[in-house]
Amino acid sequence: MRVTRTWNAGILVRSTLAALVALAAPTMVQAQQGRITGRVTSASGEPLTESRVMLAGTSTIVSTTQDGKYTLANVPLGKVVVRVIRVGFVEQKKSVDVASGNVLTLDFTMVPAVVQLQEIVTTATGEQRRVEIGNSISTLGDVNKRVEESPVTNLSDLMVAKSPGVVILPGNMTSSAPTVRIRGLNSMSLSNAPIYVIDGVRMNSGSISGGVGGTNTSYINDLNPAEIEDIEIVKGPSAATLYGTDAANGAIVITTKKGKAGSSRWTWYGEQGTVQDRNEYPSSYALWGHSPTNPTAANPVRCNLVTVGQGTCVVDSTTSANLFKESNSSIGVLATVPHSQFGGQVSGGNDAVRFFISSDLTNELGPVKMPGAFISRFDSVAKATNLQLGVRDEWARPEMFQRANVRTNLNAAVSPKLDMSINAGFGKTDQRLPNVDNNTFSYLYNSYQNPGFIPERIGESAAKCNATPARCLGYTGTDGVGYDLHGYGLYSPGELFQRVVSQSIQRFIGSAQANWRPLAWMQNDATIGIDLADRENLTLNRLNEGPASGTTRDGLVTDGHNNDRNFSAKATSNSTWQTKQYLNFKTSLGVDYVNIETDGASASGTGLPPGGQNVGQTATRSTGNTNNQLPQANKTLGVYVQELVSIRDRLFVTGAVRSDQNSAFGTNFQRVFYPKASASYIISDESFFPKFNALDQLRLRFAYGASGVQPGATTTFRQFQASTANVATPGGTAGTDKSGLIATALGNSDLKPEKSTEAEMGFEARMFTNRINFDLTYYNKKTQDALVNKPIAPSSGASATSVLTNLASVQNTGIEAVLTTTILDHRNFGWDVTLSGSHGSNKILKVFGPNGYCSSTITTACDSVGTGVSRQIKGKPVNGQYYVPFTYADSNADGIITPNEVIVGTRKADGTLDQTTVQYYGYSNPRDIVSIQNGFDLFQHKLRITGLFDYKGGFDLFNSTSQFYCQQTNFCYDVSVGPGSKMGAPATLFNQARNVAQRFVTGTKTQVGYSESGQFWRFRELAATIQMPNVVAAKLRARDANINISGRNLHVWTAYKGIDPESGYGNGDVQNDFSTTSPPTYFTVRLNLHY
Amino acid sequence: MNRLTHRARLALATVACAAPLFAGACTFKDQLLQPQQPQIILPEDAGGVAGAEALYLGSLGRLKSWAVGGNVNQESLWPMLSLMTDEFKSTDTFSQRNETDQRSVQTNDALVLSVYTQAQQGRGYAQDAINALFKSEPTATGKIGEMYFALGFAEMQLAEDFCNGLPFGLTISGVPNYTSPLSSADAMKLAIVHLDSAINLASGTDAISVNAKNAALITKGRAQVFLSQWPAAATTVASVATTYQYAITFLAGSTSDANGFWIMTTNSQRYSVGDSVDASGQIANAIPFASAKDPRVPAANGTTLSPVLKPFDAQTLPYFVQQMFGRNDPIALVDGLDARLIEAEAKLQAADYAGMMTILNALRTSPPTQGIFKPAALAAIATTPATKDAATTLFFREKAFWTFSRGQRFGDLRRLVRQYNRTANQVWPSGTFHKGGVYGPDVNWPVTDNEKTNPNFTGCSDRSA
Repeated sequence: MRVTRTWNAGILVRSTLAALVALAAPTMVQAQQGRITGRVTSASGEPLTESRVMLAGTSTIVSTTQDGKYTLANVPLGKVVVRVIRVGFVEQKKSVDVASGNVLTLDFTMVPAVVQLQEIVTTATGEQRRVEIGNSISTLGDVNKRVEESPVTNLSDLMVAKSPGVVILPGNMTSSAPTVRIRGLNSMSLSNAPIYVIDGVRMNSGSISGGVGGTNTSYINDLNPAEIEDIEIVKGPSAATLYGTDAANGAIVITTKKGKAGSSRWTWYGEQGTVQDRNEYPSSYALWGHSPTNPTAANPVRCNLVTVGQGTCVVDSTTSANLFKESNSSIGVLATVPHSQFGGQVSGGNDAVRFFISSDLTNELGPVKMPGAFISRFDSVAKATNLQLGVRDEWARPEMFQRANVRTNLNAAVSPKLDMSINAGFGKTDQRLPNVDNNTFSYLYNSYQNPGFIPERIGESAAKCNATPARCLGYTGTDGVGYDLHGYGLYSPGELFQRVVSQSIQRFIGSAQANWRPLAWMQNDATIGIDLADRENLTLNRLNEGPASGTTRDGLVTDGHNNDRNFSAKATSNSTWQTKQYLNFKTSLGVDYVNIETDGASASGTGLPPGGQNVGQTATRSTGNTNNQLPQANKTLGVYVQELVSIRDRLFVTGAVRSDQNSAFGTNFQRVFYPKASASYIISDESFFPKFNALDQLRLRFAYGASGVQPGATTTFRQFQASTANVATPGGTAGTDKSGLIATALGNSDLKPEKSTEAEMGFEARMFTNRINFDLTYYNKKTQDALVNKPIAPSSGASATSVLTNLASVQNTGIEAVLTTTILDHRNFGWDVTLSGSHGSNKILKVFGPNGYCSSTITTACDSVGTGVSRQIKGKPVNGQYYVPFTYADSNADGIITPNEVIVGTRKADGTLDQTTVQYYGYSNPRDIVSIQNGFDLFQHKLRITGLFDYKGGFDLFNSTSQFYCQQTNFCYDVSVGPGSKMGAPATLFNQARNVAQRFVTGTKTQVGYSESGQFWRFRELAATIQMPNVVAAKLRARDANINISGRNLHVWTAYKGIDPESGYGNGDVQNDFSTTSPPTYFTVRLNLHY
Repeated sequence: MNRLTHRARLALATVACAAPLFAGACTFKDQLLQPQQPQIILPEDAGGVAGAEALYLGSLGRLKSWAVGGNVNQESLWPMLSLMTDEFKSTDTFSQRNETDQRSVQTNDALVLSVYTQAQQGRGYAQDAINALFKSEPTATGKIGEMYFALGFAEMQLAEDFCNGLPFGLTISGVPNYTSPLSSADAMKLAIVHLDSAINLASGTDAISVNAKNAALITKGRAQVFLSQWPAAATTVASVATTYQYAITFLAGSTSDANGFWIMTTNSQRYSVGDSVDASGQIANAIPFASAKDPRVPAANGTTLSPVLKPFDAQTLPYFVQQMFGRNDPIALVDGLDARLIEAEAKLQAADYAGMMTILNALRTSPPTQGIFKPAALAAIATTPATKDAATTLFFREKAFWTFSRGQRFGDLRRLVRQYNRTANQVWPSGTFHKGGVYGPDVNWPVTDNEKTNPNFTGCSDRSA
């Protein structure tokens, strides 16, 4: 098959225009209609802006202006019902008779609701009342308030611990990528991340390689939370059906703020804060000793617990050190650094045109600095050589994030029947990260490589150690350049931070929307938009700078440029019909098109001249094309139809189907269908339903739906790749570069999307005069045709080690509950609590079908993929954790475990040892989530204090940091701190045994001892917001003002022995805590002024 | 209007609004969904003479990269092999390298898995090129022969290093086909079949044919030695000149394709030249490559070099080879020197110790160039060993220096156990391991766990030498 590049924007424009022209055709169909105007106020007469006024049984929804006024045009004749909904107030509805040409006035006085819930949600077909929907949808309404009153710097801060069933692992570094998973894992080979939609546009949301060893950055963090009006988390296929292929993992729907009619309202805010790394990093230890056969040796030898236990080493003295605790000395890297955010917004306009404009600047440093000792050295060298330059700012502060955002959203009522809006947001993000994680240039790695002492603190020096390493237990004290390491391993922060890794992103997200209501019963919506992201990743190591490794100090540059473009276009037509007073139909038809394109290129070279900073200036450049990212496009065209039936405004039944075609499907697969059905029943409104004083409303929900996850853009193709080879002259030793080909991907022309079907059911109860809202949901999701990277045995000589194939099925089940309550609501004291929790499970139902090759490691046919720690095994969860077990016994009771006291494997019935069969140990991702948010209102609601606690459990983490350093060094706790040690509590027998089992035993080894429970409670947020007295606000000429003081990541309670249970780099489905950083703590003070 | 039936309204709505959308979507569907992967290379691109030539070149590139090429800190088969012998020791923190150095390789070892997979894939690339050349350029027998050499060399090297129970399948038109595992001996016989094909096809006098034939002859000789067919092996290699080399060369000035030993030593400092003594004391059976001051292995303490080279693990005393492993220095994959050593071993087996010494001394006094490295001449060894045991020890010590880091020591240690009746603990590095614990029992590598996807494979059938 020949494929060609045929991108042609003109085609899309023409087709869209053709559709819009076609939409204009039925304007000749007119009817006699009326008009309703009115005002929405609070009980005290205050106008309630942004109240949603709906004409029941139609798609007509308008918002009130700043003076609380609204106008409903094109109202059909006869008896109609007008409904008003606003967050914080009880829903109101009134009936009125509309006669031809009449202009009726209908005012509403709203009663505050004790529990504040979002009653309108954004769906694929437009805005809809929550009660009409059979799904559970989590909403983060009134995001503005959350941003103003809590320590929020990015999107993950907003969403974390706010919704049951949604696991959010915030990034560990300044604006590093969060991991978001909804209702567990169901895909073994594709991403389990949800999709993001912003103002109707499919958003770039993937993580981006940070180039620092593992930690990624994210497009999500380019968004300014202050621009967001609300966020809805659509949790699974039953709700996401109409979002189509790729939405099976859920959808996060973001709506930015819109202008409000009325005089211009200004908001200014300024935030200052600090960022600290308050985590407890492990110490290093040294056992200084001698061989019992050579007690008078000139130099000491390093003992470890095993050699002590075996009697081959005798300890003379002990030392320990911890470079992470040196922040107050001249050699520590950790520091308290500033964070700031400033911005302004203005909103206003009139009934015809409304606007929202905002701008924001965020600056943040990471809690890392170049230590003073190294700064002094650079300064002295600069002084001695008469160089102007001492320490560059980028060395002194290697972790930095700066984000500038501007946004303009315009809404215009072009005619009584046509509204149009334009949303445009631009952001520029610049960030810098130090090397971390799985990286020898990591300051963490080199800190952990401390040999258990700092030479100058024990009477030695770098010079002495370098001259005679044996006197320092082999530690040479200096790096390859000859500089004093001050206790760091191979490289010091001085040289490490000279290697600068930076990223710059320019981002535009824009959309245009039209809402056309040619008839009272018809509403047509069209959205066209784009998300453009231009990114540069740069690693720069100038000449004679950086760690002395290989050719690094010759100068090195790696420069990558990427473009990620998402184009979205969709149109929906909603028609309503009220056949009877109690029966209403709403039909939706839609077309949805998404084109996700990406391309990029990178180049690298070594050997820079003085001052040289780009690849073109290097002496030796990379060849081959392995670093170049081919342009790819993944396109989806979907059509759907949905019918919603409302019966007596209490029973809502929905049926829908969507059909998708996708460019990534195999050539043998054309189209996929996703059905949907749901029911929402306010059963408490029925006359037969028993009345309870405590129960205000009971709503039952049921939903069923399907959605998919699409394969990668080029996975279907069998491919070759260029491979440049240097071919020697036959029989000679000189070669020339020649371009060749090798096979790569095997391809699969039968590829189709993973298809997930989900049934969920639950209820929502409002009790005690709406003081308590309780929502309970059970879901059962089954993913079929799940894509598996079917492994290929190397002996086949195949060019790939796996081929993506639809071979598996997975089941996810779970229960989610949210309790929202106001316990006390007095004038001087209020107390509200939101308690949410969920428990989820997933199970692999099938791994291979009859045509799949089976793994011989499992005796049951066709039930396993993988041979490592994470495996896919039938009957167990996706990415279940598997290890060979071990047992131990301190046979000689000396308090030290030696290799002969550890047995790896299990005894079989015949007494022989089975060292190959692995055992299942647990989930890789949290399956239990609890969050508790308390809010206290004091002093006539002038002071509000909130606290958020976050629990995650039901999963295991591999404590890779401890495992690695215990396996590789004799500096770690498990192998150094024994009975009677003066360096702290001795390592338990288990701790010793786990290290012996992974390191000292002969033959099969196991690392299972470092697999630990990951459960934790975290004091996630604490915030106090003080409303400033009117007199103070007036002096600032503000309508009102408040100050917020808050903290994030304040404390964690966990049995996990690693640095932190949320410590992990990468954004896959198995956390990787290897020499990575851990969540920093934020303290901020924010001033919000409203004009 | 509100008197219209629901059905009529729906029909109207559909016709008025949705139908044009559907029509538009259908009309432009193909353009909207056209795959936009213009830069991927599809099977039809790899067809014809040009495609066959490109696959030939691609296969040669991969032969280099799986055997001895390097990229960043990823090594290939030969460096990993040398790590398990006494040639190099690990100065790394990676458990995979440390465990290989310790002769305690796990079946899920990621690096052994990688080099095993790459070598097997090298077979696949050679087979792809053979198929394409036969189809589109059948008269290019020299190149086809060279591809059979690449296929046979991979099979010989895998059989020499991995355990008994090694499968060799094929992938045809993207479809993997698995076969049953072979014993090391049978695997070596399979290699000989392919090497014979190379020898027969590369019978021309053009440079490519001559080169391919010589390479195949020496490789076949190695296979025959493995099968204890010493006289036949000597006959096989007799026609190959000592000066012959099948050299692996590297991309000029490239950071992504370099001499694999340079990558692991000078560049990343993860390997140190082996010695007979280290921090743990005397290493049983280890040749003192670092301290022997033998010109064939010019090693130096990294801390005395300029710039200073420190070990990656910041603990192990590091020795680095000088002169031999520059970033783009070629390495002889197959060498006329190997032919002479095969002949010498045949003399050893025939108890013709004087004949053996003649060959060895000729090499010492007139050292051949390997790659571009030509060691200084050595004095001839005056004393001819009197016993087979002494002759064996001498021969394999001489061979160890001549073939240092060229992927042969591993197989030789294995053969010393199997063919020369020595125990593993008399041959392989043994005793206390310098990073803790003791040396393990491995005398070959296990076929790694990823092979278990092959339904015919259940694990090594025999881990003995």
